[in-house]
Amino acid sequence: MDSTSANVDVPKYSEALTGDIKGLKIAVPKEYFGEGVDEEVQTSARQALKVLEEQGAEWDEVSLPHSKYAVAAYYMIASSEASANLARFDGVRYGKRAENAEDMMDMFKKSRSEGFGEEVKRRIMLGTFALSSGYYDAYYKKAQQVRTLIKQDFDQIFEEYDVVLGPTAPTTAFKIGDQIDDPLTMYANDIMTIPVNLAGVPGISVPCGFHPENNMPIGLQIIGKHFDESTVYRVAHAYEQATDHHKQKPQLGGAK
Amino acid sequence: MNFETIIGLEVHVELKTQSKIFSPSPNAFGDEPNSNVNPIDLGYPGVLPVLNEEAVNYAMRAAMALNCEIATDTKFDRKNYFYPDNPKAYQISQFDQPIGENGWIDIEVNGETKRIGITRLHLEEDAGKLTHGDDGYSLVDFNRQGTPLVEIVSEPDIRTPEEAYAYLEKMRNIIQFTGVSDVKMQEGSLRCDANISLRPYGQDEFGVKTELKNLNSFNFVQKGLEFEQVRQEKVLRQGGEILQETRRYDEKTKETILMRVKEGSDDYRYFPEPDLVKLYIDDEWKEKVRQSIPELPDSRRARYVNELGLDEYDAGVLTNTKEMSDFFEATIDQGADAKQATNWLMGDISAYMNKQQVELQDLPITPEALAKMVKLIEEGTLSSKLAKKVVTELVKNGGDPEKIVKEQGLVQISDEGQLRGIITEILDENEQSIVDYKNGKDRALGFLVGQVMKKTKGQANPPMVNKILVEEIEKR
Repeated sequence: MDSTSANVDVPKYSEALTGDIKGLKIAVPKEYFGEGVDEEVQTSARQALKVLEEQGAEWDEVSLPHSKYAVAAYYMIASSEASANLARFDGVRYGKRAENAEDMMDMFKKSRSEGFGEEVKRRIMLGTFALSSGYYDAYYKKAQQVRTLIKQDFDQIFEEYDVVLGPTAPTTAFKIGDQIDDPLTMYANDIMTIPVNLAGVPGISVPCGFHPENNMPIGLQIIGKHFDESTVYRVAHAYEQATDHHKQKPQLGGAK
Repeated sequence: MNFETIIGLEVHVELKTQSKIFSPSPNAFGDEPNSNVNPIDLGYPGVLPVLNEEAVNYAMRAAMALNCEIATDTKFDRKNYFYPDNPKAYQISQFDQPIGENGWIDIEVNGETKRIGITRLHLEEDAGKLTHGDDGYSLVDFNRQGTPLVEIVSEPDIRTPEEAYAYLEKMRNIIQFTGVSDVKMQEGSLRCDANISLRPYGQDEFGVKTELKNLNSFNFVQKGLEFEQVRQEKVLRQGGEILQETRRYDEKTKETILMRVKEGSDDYRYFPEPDLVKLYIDDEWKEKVRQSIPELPDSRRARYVNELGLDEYDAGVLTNTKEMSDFFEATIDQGADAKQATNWLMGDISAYMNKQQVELQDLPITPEALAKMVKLIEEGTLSSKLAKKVVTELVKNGGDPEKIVKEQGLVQISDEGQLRGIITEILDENEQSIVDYKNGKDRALGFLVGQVMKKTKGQANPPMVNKILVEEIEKR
């Protein structure tokens, strides 16, 4: 096993699907139901919360105070690592090799220019900048410190609660290619899922309704403690036993 | 204005663990190119490194032997650089939390002891090896990629090229004794870069330094630094300016040659290696490694002087290499006299090694054999003179000294009656020598001893021959 893998036994998850969530303690972050989150998305998630309440779960509002920094921290960390990871794709060691190069340098430049897409190039440049001498402390290091704070937010909540619950994304999905020229909007749409990845906790997204305006599906996110996938599955399963969103297909084709 | 020379050395030492630092590939020198590689060494996208615990043990052992403080919290970092010898385009190294810091070694130059500080010792992976052909192509051998490597950076405490040489000798000596590396410059398991600058005496801040590379022997390090010292002084005296340069030593012209001028510092964009976890070294682990460090050369040398009664010089030569020192210890463990063993090792055996350009471990002679031979001399079975024949046979073909003595008829004649008979014959044949001797010509006795030796093919016991000769002459 590599050293990023933890040596923890994996339980039989299907045994966790009991349908019983009586006494389950749910934390509902107020940040997941605040500014920038579509009203209809909020409503669907709150209805889901009610369904779980009816099955015997209890919930409180909590705060994940650092989650608002998650997107910024993530794009620093992920882009920095990507800039190093992708340096080997030079047309010699790995990746596409450009034709018609004049010399070695030209071959490297053309290979990378032609081989990488816009988003990848954006991240390579962002990451290379963030790691540069003189900027490391302000960007990469700061982002890692923020990551620790985000993890601590979750650690604190999980001392008292079994799961964290909220919408998966602030809006429904946008159409393919719709925001392609606005990377910040695309990045910001991950604000509710990125904290989960930064904290290293397990999460699941299950369908919890359709947006009345565009019929796009809305996701409910259930987040559990480190290595406690069993509880996450148990809650998701119980929710799907009581609802049928997961059996429906969206009526696509734009707003009514 | 007089100038003071400031030298700092960067030494790279390859650790001889069985497998590589982050992959299970064999760590071996001299194999078919690109035969000891796997996807981790080749940097396949997506593969993950796994730290070799033994590499950490070896690095700690080296750091401890160099009197470093060992970090409790340490980690690995990525050093980004783009070069064909480096398949990932970054090297996994250590940046701000090296495994060892604040060490030192004592060197001796012109009979004086000087302490040279060691700033840090860190663990990293070695890169592949490039071979530049005449056909415009360069070839890469990734067998070396991932070999565990420690980089040892000295404080700028070294003041002369001679001290630099002594520092390297001592460094090699100590590391060799710890057993973590072969420290062979010709195989690249020990490599050295040197930084040198000059400043007017009395000035606190350092002058601009140049870095010397391509130093393929300790001798070239010294020679390169000597050249650079003179060159820099000349530039400064003429009112010129030293540029921050990388220069290489040319073995043919014996000059340092400009490779490139450094503008600003290289930006390696270091950041903590995300594919590895931090490394926590607790006291128990440190203690376990400390216990594994064998007796080091300084301690052995002191013991040879204080307990075995050898002189400083001999003790120094014996502990110069681990092979020699181990061989010596094994020989005296077999009961040989320390002084005798020393004489043979430093005399005939070393002479043979130098002449044949071989190492002690390449010779068939064993400590047991040497000890036996020394005992045969002590017992009087073998004369020191004939022992030279035995030792020659031992270094060439090995074997049992007792058997060699018998087979080659080298047994010393110590039987008094037999010797007296031979001596009587010799005296009968050389009456003039007796007269000469009685007339005070001491040389005559030497001649007579020589005649006895000739007759006995050198087998006669020399002290007895002397004694009996004098007695017999007196009788006449």
